[in-house]
Amino acid sequence: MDKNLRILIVDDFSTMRRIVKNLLGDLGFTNTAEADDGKTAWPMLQAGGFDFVVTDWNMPGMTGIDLLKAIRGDDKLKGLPVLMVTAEAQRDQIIEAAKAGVNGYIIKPFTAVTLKEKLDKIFQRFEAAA
Amino acid sequence: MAAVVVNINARSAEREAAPSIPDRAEYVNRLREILSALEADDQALFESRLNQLMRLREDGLFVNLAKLTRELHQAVKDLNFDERLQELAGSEIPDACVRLDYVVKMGEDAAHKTLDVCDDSRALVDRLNGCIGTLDTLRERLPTVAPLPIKGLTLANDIERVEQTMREIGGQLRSNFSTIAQAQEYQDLSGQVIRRVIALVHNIEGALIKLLMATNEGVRGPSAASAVTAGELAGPTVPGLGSGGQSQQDADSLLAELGF
Repeated sequence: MDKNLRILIVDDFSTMRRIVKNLLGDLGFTNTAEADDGKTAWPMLQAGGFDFVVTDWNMPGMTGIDLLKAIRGDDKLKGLPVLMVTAEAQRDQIIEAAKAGVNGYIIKPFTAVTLKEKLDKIFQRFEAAA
Repeated sequence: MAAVVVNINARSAEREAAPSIPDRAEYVNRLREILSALEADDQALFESRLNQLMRLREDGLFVNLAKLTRELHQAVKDLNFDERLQELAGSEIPDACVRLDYVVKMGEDAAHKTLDVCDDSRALVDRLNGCIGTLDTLRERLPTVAPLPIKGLTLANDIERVEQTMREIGGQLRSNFSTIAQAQEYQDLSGQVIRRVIALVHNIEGALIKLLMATNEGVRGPSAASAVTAGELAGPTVPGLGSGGQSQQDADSLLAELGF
């Protein structure tokens, strides 16, 4: 697994962005950038260079699910892996995210172990597909 | 207040004593007319009489609606709810919002402070690991010091310096732990503020229930908490609220079912 992957962390709470950033750092991923909602994230993604997106769902401006849909609907970005890290835990929402093409779904509050597990699973799939 | 309650009960009793179907004779007549038109197979007459009946029904509804509105207005006046609600809506609710904003800010500040100290502590642990590396190198010099006492002295000094650094790091880590522990004090303050807001919500709930009972004959209790309105997000699952939130395990198996 390439530890130099460039990861975009999207969450409206700066503390959560720091926590995710630290956890990713502990797992060896230090090449990260942050955005506080989908609207901020979108031009950053459009500019290119990102290999992975970790996003919250409920954010002002543009939500994580809309960001996910925008990514899947964009020719350049549609293959980008997206991990949803959210407090939204309703069955319908998990199904909606799955239908929109999410690659992993983590419910807050979460642990470092869960984050590692989901990342490993996503990378395994991508490596198997490659 | 007691007098007001009696007043409301008296009004409810009046309503209960009223005939169950108003304009009974009128309805019987009109239904007979409709039936005779139907039996005579007179389409036009049937439609026009049916329309008349429906208009009678609608008029009744409007009369009832107007009556309800008057009663609601009266009940609000009787119970001084307009003043109480005005106070709740005009000052206590905005006040509660300011308080909750403050709670959010306190929590956020504490989290950032803790995260800052964690970052600092990580750097300290890295330095501690550096010290272990230095001690390893110093140990390699041990065999060379036996024949030369001066080398032994230098080595002792070098070890002393590493020890000093490790003691400093230990002291800083200890103070970082205290800072982290102290940063949690916001929880006491935010807890107190949140309890006050909960009390306010109870007050509003009580006022609204009284208003409902005063205007709705007190028959219907508050309905069960409604499910999340379409398009709104449910937010974090709260234990004891049974909002149907899934655990990480539920989510994993659901996604597995969907082929993930």
